[in-house]
Amino acid sequence: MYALLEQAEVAPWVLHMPKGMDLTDDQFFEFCVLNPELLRIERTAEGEILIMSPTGARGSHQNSQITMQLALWAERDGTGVAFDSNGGFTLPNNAMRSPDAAWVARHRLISFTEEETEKFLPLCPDFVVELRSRSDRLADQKQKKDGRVHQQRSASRLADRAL
Amino acid sequence: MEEYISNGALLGWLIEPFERQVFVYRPGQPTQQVERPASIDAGPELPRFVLDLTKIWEPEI
Repeated sequence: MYALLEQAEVAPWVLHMPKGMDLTDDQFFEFCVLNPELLRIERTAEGEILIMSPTGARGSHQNSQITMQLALWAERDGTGVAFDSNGGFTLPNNAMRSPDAAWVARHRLISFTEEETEKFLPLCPDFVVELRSRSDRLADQKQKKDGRVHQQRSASRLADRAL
Repeated sequence: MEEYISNGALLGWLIEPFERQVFVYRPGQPTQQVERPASIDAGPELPRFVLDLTKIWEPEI
């Protein structure tokens, strides 16, 4: 578990799913419920499961500022509902994402049953906020580095071919 | 953020606290980059929602 979190601090841990073994939305929800110690789970459109580390204290505090202001506005405005960073949404492309803050117009929510609203909502929010964190930056730097290594390898392969 | 917009979101903000930048995403429009704003307005999609960024740029911890 510690090793996993250490890894996740750098970049999301990606679980690749074999072809034909993609989880249904309900199975994926159950997977998340059965693994509460994996605090932040998302799913890509391709069915890969991403496991991310919890946010650091500063990022969490900054996020609470955003959530608070959005929730206060939504309460006053009344035309929709605000969500915090724990909310999961199943997008039309089948990805499941948890934006840091989100808002959905009320008319889009009335058709859902109480049971459905206890799971990840099968819609894309009207408004999303993402707050970049230290681990996002580390992940980007790693991706850039990996990209560079990949480019260098491609370049050396081209060079080999040219010889 | 592109994924939310292509899946139907009307407005997206990517807040970059280290550089004090906000990237604003709307469908069919190029991403708008705002440098060091004190606040940012979500209208017309979310009328009169203005996010005060003071405590995001200068958090208490």
